[in-house]
Amino acid sequence: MNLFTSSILVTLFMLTLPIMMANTSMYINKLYPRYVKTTISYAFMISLIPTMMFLHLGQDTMISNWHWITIQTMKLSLSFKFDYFSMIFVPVALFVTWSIMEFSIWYMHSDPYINRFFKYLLLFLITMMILVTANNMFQLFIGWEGVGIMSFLLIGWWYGRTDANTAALQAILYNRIGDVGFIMAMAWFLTNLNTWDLQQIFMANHENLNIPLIGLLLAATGKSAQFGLHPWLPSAMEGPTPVSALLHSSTMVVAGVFLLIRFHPLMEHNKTLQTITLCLGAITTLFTAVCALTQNDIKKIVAFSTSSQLGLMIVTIGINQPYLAFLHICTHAFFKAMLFMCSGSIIHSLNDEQDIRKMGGLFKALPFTTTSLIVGSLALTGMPFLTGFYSKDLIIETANTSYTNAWALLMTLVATSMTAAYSTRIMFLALLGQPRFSPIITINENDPHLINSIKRLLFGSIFAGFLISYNITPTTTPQMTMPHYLKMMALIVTILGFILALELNLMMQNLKFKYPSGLFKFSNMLGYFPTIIHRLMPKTNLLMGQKSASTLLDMTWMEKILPKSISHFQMKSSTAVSNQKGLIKLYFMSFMLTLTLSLLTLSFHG
Amino acid sequence: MLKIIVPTMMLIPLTWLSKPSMIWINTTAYSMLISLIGLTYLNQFTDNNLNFSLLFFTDSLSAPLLVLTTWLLPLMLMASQHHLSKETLTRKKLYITMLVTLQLLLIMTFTATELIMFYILFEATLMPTLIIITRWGNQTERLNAGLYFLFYTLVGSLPLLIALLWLQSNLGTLNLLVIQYWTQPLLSSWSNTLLWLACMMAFMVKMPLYGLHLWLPKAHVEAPIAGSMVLAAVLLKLGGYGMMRITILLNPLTDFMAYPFMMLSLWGMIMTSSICLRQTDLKSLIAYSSVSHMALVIVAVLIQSPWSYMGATALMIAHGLTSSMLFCLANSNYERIHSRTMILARGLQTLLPLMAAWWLLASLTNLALPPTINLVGELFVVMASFSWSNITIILMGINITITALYSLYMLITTQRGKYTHHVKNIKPSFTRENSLMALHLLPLLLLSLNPKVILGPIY
Repeated sequence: MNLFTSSILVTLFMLTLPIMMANTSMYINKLYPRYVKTTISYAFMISLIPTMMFLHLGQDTMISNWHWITIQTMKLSLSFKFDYFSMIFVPVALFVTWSIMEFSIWYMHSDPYINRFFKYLLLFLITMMILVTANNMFQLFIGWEGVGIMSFLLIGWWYGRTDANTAALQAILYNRIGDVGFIMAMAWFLTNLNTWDLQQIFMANHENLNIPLIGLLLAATGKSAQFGLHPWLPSAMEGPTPVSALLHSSTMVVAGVFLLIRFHPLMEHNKTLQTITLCLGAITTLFTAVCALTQNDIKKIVAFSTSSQLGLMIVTIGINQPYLAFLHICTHAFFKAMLFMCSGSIIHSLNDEQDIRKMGGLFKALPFTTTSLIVGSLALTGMPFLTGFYSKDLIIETANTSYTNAWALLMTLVATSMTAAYSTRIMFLALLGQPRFSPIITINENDPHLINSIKRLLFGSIFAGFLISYNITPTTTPQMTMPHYLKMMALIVTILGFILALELNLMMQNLKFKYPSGLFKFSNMLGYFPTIIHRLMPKTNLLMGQKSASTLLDMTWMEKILPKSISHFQMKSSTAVSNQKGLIKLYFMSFMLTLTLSLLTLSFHG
Repeated sequence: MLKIIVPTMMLIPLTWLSKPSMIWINTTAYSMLISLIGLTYLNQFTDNNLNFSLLFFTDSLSAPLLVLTTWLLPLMLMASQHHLSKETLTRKKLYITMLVTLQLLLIMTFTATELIMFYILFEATLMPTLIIITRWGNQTERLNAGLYFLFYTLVGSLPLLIALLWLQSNLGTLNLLVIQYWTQPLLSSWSNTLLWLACMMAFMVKMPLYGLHLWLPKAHVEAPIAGSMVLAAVLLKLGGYGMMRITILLNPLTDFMAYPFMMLSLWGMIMTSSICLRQTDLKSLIAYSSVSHMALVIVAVLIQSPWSYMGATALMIAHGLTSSMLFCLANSNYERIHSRTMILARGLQTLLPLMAAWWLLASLTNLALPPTINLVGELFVVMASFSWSNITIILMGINITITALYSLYMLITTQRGKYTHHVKNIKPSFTRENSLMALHLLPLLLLSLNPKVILGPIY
């Protein structure tokens, strides 16, 4: 059993090595990115050992070392939890990161601070590892906030651009709202259970858990960009494409879902919260799928599709299937990271052109990217026997056979069909048809860094779902029997989406809208959400800060009431009481009069 | 205790007898050595305290503040070198003497055993601070700021003197080690309510409580860098320290007397944070952020639970270092741009990358990134207030969000974006400045490894 803990600790420790190397001359070396990439690949391979052992033995492990602090009755120590979730997620995350690192060597090669970029990516990965392996809430919070801050730094990588800075700030703001929920949950657990250790929390009495669970749901809403706190995710596409691929599709944004999965022992008995979760997920998945339908920025479409898939995961948690949600996290990581890398490849080849209307015909120029993009999209839509199928199909089936909120489930189904629709739109506009980009662009996808990294994820997108679902121990009994139409439902709606989108695209290609319809505007303007929330709320808040807090209260009332009025009254009263009025003429006159009078009397007397 | 006080006193002759070229380096080095002596007090091996004499003692509440005070003097000296470089030698020496005097008084304040002696020293710290603000400030408004500073704190603390005299005649002693055993529960009556107010208001003004905070932004903005640093790092903490010391006398009145002040603080921290969002003046922003953080300390002290006391103590230390560092950073901008206006110093990351790293770290500690001690402090306060009343989490949550927002707004405005044309020929950052920031940040990071030394008396 020693091999288990030692190899997993080696995996985690290895990741910190390049960070420590940042103080040495290694860091100014041109090979630093490769060094980071290789380290991660080794870490991935080593992490396979404990994962294999876990799959074989099915044994949870918890390591507790380095006692940090004991506060009264609560002990906090550095402790790791290696259970089903962390043991499967760690290799997946490492594998995806490995490919993305390799991709970044190609994508960021002209960046003067490429070494720093790699350091940031690695720091992010470390915080993510802390998050998934944490065994107490404080440690989880370190990882939780760490990924948030790293996302701030990475979105704002091109800090000269205002948009990048705004997007970074936006990400932090929405995440911070979620953090409040996390802190609330921590506070509740502390006051009522006197512990932050996960296994002790799970022993809690299952009644009256609404407050902490709402807190956790809020935290997940913020981090996983669920409806209400979703706008930061598409804005985060201002960051470099590797960042979008790593943070905003496969790892960081699933942290919220992961949190809910972690806490499902508390959630599985709480019907209220599950209903809320289900509805939230359903709204998110539908709304973001609607938004994705009419976007023109390729990265935005993929981002909205990520958001939609996150909604699907939350739906899965809402129907009490955390293991399925987790499976979807793992499979989703492969093809979504690959989709981002493919769009990165296209964007880079077309000289930073992100508008799919200005692409077209790329299947000739970028055959490999095209292949990967199509496979990725098919996997995303859940085509049978690609990676996405193994989780998505199960999720839809389970949803179809469950007795919960039918509207929410219907919305999910509609969103599933839309997934196919917007995937078709990308393929149709970007890859097929006539080229619409400027002809002088030199397109080249033959860099081994690009090819290898995408290829690795391509294999992942085809086989990973099978491998994972074949190897993991079944945790919940799948629905064995169901009517034909329910069994085929997922496939039917997807194919329906494909056909509809294809027909629409074919028909509409040469037509022009007279006026964009209301529905189109709703979708294209992201449901007017940013327009309303990002204008109104900050404006009112800032206005309140300026007008009432600063000008009215601080500068006027408080200054008037205390200091100014006191000095004013002092002045008034002193002038009122005083004899001295400053009437110089009068004083001199009276002085002169007395003087002359006295002189006169004196002289007369004399 | 003399081993800190006497060397600190001897800093004054050291200043006046040093060669002109050596005054800064001598005083900085010696004060740094003095601060090392204090570090041993962090190790409180008994549960009660360390008695040095009849006059001085330190326990786990005052020891971290004492160490913070001694740690800050070398940093203040390092920070002020530049803006005094054009002054004459005598003035430089006088300035250092002022700082040393203030230091001396602060050390004695934090370790005083008698409450009345604490009071006298507490008042005595006003004088050097006032002189530093009104003599070495940069603009004419410094006189106004000095007036505000003096009158707010004086008006607040004079009732305390009367209250202390009454307590002395009633209890027979004001010795901090004894009164905790001799104190009687206060009956609820009008006179006792007034006693409570008299005892607390002095410290509330010093903290400052929202509504009585006007002196603080003015004083911070107008003070020279060392003044701002010591104000933010130590002088505000006198309020928290005093409150925690004196509340033992005021039970059980605090239970209901606390409500208006809790409300004011909870409301005030949101108001001051939202003022921060609209600040154009860098120093003023940091000053308002201090008010908002100190409101948390007030809430924590008034809740009076073990967790809240731990949170308050940790937050005071963390905020002391963080806000002092932010003022230093603001000053390093000011020395280059000659203006505190944020919009004039944009995009500095391109020009001063290492300084940008310090800015980033300072902002992150200011917004309480785990696992810094800022988070430990804030988290404990939030925990305590949540268990006091669940609803406070809404206000705390808003405040947490806005704090993150204005910290990063400050970071983005000063460091990110395109730089303005007039900053092209600014000086690079000096080793002095970098080491100054490092010396602020190191304790923050090291304390994160072992926060229990600053968790105060209940730990």
